[in-house]
Amino acid sequence: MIVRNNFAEPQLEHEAVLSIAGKNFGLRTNSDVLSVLLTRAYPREGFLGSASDVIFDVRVDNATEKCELPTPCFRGTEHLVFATFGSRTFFTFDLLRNYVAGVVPSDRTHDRAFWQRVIIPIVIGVLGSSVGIAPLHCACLVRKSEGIMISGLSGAGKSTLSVALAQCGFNLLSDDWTYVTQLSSGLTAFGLSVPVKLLPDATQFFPDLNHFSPTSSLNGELAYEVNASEAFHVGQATTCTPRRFFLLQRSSEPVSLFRPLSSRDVSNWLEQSAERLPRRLIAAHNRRRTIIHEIAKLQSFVFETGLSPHDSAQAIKDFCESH
Amino acid sequence: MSRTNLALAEETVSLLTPDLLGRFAPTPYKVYLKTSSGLLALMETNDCMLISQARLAGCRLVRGGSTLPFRWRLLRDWKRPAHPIGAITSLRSNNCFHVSLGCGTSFSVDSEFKEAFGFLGLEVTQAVMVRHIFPLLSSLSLCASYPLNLASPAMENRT
Repeated sequence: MIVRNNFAEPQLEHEAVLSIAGKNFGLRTNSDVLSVLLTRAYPREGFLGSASDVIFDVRVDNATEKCELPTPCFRGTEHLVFATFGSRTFFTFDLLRNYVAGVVPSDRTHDRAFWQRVIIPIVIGVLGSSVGIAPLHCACLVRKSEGIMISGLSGAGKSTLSVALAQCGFNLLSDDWTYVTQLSSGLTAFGLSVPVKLLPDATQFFPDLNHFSPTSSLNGELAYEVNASEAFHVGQATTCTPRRFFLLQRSSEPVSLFRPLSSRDVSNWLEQSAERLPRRLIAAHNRRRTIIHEIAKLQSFVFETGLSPHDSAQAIKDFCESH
Repeated sequence: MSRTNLALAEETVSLLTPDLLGRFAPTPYKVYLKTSSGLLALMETNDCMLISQARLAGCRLVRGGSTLPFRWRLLRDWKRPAHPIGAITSLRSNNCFHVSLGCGTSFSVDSEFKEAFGFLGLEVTQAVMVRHIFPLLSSLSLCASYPLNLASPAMENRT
């Protein structure tokens, strides 16, 4: 068995502040390349204060050799969460101290997609609730400065509907995970500009997908993971103020129906969809619940549809324009 | 912090959100151990074989005393297929030592809370537990605030 080091940590001499989903992340790393890459990807926003909400330490291990990124394994107990990608990439998350520490091989320092599509979404997903960001399993689209959030069970069709809505004139913020926080300006939703994920059968609705090849996604599922603006020439957004909430339900009938959804039902749905947290993280639980209660105050509807993604998207567009 | 809030956090159980991280895996086996260096630890685990392996690693079963034990919560990851054990990679953060042995086998020692949490893949054999993990866990638990070179001598130069 090889011991890579005995806790003799290198100096993390490169420091920067990143703005991610409305929060400050204090990056410390021993790699100037990584520091530059992340600073460019997540430039500091002027409206944020100087204090870091999260400390983000990344040690680049020059001794490790190149390898394919294995499927990650996530485990957690109490306030600590581990994410291991094989034996060379390892992250830990301390949800009480708002601290992330990771070690990565040197070839990952240049890999922008690895950080933007994999690591940063994982960091926000795991640590978000602890710093006042609610990671919600919702799509989010924006039109005329107003955001709509679309939730539903996995497989309900959030991603296909999101792309169809984007082709219908909405800007796509997220097709899967939306990060909501309460800023001084009000409830604010963020996306992380990750690719949309569509299952292979989506080609029947989106022939443009035939220009791409499905790949094995992080959870091992075969899917198209494509940049929406490149694949479908649609507009994208990174932040918005949510105004409406839709709970997507599939129907076997070729109809689309909108039914009002009570605040209580929205709260219950989002609470039940969110990750269960241990008692030690009661503060994180309460921060997330506060945000969910704010979302529950939005105009909310069940959207039941048996139509194609494009017809469903048109129905939502018409509904939004008439309400 | 109200009792109601505490209950709510723990009881927000949902079929929509299974325990993907293994946070709430039960640990029915609980024993007090004294390591060879005199540390009192309360081991909580879902794998009863770890008790005998701890003894092979030099720990003695003892009664809980008035001293607050170091809590070791060690979970065998029964559901995850075995992977080859990787190199030991370690990290140190403000109050924690983190150790990874490849995909899915990792543990952390938190000096402030006097706790160690670990997930052990099926590939982690008795020999690995006795020769590597228990000595390392004992060392880190005992010397959690030491800055450098905490790995036990038993870990060095083995293949």
